Amino acid sequence: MICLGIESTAHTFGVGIIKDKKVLSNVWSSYRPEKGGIHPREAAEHHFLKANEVINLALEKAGISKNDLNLIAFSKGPGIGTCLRVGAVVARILSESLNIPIVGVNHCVAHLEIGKLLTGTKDPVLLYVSGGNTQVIAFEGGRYRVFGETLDIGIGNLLDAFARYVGIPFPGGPEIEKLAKGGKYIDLPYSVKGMDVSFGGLLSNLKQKSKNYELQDLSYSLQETSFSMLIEVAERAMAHCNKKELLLAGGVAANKRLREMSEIMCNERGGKLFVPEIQFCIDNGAMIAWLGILMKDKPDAGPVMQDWRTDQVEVFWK
Amino acid sequence: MHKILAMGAEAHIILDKDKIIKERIKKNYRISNIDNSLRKKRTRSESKILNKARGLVNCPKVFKIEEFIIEMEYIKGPQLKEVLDDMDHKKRRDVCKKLGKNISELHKYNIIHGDLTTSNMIFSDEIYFIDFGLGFISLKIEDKAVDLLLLKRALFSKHPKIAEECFKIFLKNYEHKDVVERLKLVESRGRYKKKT
Repeated sequence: MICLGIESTAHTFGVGIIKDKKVLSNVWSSYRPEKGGIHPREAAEHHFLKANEVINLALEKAGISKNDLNLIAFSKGPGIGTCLRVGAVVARILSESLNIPIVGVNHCVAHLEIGKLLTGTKDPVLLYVSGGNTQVIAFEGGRYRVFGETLDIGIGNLLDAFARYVGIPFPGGPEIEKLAKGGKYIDLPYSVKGMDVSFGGLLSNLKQKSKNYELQDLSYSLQETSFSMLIEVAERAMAHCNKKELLLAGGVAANKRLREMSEIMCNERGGKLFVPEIQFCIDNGAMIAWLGILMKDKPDAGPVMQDWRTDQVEVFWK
Repeated sequence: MHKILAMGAEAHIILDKDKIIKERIKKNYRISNIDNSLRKKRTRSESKILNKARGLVNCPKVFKIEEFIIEMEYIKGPQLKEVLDDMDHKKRRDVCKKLGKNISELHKYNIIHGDLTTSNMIFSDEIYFIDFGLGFISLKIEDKAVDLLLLKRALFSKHPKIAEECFKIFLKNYEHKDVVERLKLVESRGRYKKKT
């Protein structure tokens, strides 16, 4: 069984090819806005222009031809409508022309399943930290359920919005991580509500302080405060669900300080941390291909779903 | 006789004869600036809120407080999360009804629990509310609505089969209609909400 997966929920058009349980290739092209955040039409345009090139590169790297494929998977949601539709259309064209089945999969669940495949974690709590998404997800009662999430903006969005405000180009996370080294602590609002977090107040507070404090100190305090909030809710979910494993996913999982904090938290409570290689943490086609393989018995394309919730997915493959 | 009852996410709960010692433990993933002030603030605020809530709903009595430690009454019984799913129908209705009335009462006096999960309720004939560590006092409808949202999510994530029924009964018995209205707004602001 060889599956080609297409990811196009936001700024990345990614294609991955998986044979049985092995990743044959995983490549992508990312849209970078000249200024500001993601522009939906421009991002979709980027995906259309790059689709062919990325697909061919994925096939080439995998060392196979189109005719070797048995299944096409695409991310059906959640995400930006215009971007999702590009992936869906490209996937349909491939499926029609090759006469092979097509399956639309949930992006958030894909992050979790690829993490399980590649790291060996069995029943983790997932801390999913990307630009738009900040969720704590675990398997309970036959489905993946969201135990906690941001009440307003995602963690990556917080980092990017602050970066943009102080003149750091997109993506802001890596630069903030560099700046944070050697910074001093400034008191910032810490907002945890049960297993939920809220970053809106933190962002406005940072903006206000940006005139009077060093950027280094702000970056350091931003990371320490927001990451502490994330680890706290992840730990609370682990305690609440009696689970011992923590899995990281999303672009912010690349941050070394966040990983370090996750590691310390897991060690202190006798748990274990799992982090896939970063190319499988960020939005990627391989995770879509893998979830496609898991869902191969019930192929279903259907329209894209911009606000498809994790707990709406029927988990029939477990 | 000391016995560790639970190693929660933020505190160790130790049973010492007939009292509970709740100690907020140091979290090494957080820098001490953040960690110390959070643990101090939450310990102080929890004991204050427990004292305030005690006249309104069932919750443990506070005996003594130190920097990171609260000594309080031991409430014997299982956590609600362990028994809610297997209860008979009538009993569960009754529990949800009481939840509605109790949380109404807390909110009437502007007490926000801050972590309304079924882990934080003890069931022994009556419902006892524990762990007010994230609790605070607020007049804001918004804060009360978020409190309800946490409960709703806790039910739907931990008790998916019975959640809908439970939450419906809860809402019927929860008296602040303006808060319920606000709950819809708060939910609509979050990401990927079910279209109802």
